[in-house]
Amino acid sequence: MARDATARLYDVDENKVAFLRPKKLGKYTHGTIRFQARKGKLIDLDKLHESVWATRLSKGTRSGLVALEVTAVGSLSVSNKQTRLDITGSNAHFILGKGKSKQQRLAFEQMTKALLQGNFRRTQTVRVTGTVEGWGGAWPSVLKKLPRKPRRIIVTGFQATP
Amino acid sequence: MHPTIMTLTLGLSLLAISSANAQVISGNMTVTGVEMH
Repeated sequence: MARDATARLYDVDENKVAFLRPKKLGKYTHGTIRFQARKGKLIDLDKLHESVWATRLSKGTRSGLVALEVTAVGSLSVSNKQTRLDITGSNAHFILGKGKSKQQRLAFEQMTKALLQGNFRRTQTVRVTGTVEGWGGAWPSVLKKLPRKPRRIIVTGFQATP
Repeated sequence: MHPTIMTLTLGLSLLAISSANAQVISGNMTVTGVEMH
């Protein structure tokens, strides 16, 4: 149902929505829905939330959202001691956070280097991948209200060129 | 126009408008409790 809810979004390329083979982790089975925006479009996470909410996934299904990892393109800057990514072609932005794993710390360091090279001024367009905070939990509680803003992502990947 | 058709048309028009606040180019949503068929 969550896959269909994702594919229904206008800005999502329905031909590129894939359901990756479920993995059995402990007594639960995890699956990943991979999605991509249509060419020249961006996906609004509020609309994604609304679309999944509309499925009315309910308590007792023993299912839930484990994590949402997203990739966004924009320019980096520092504001109020926080690193932010201003999305190209949109008014939106993300606050970027440092994770604890080796991969997350490495990605955050690469991003910081890019900022250092630009003397902490706004960078060229970069590509950042990260896990969105607040997107996790059991249905339906995870869908009851929109995660808080500004949206914060824990950086898991960084590319200096989009 | 019939109210139902008008509502549907308006709904579809709104869906066709890209949000000025959209954010991401791609993503991976991991869910648990997946039904196996």
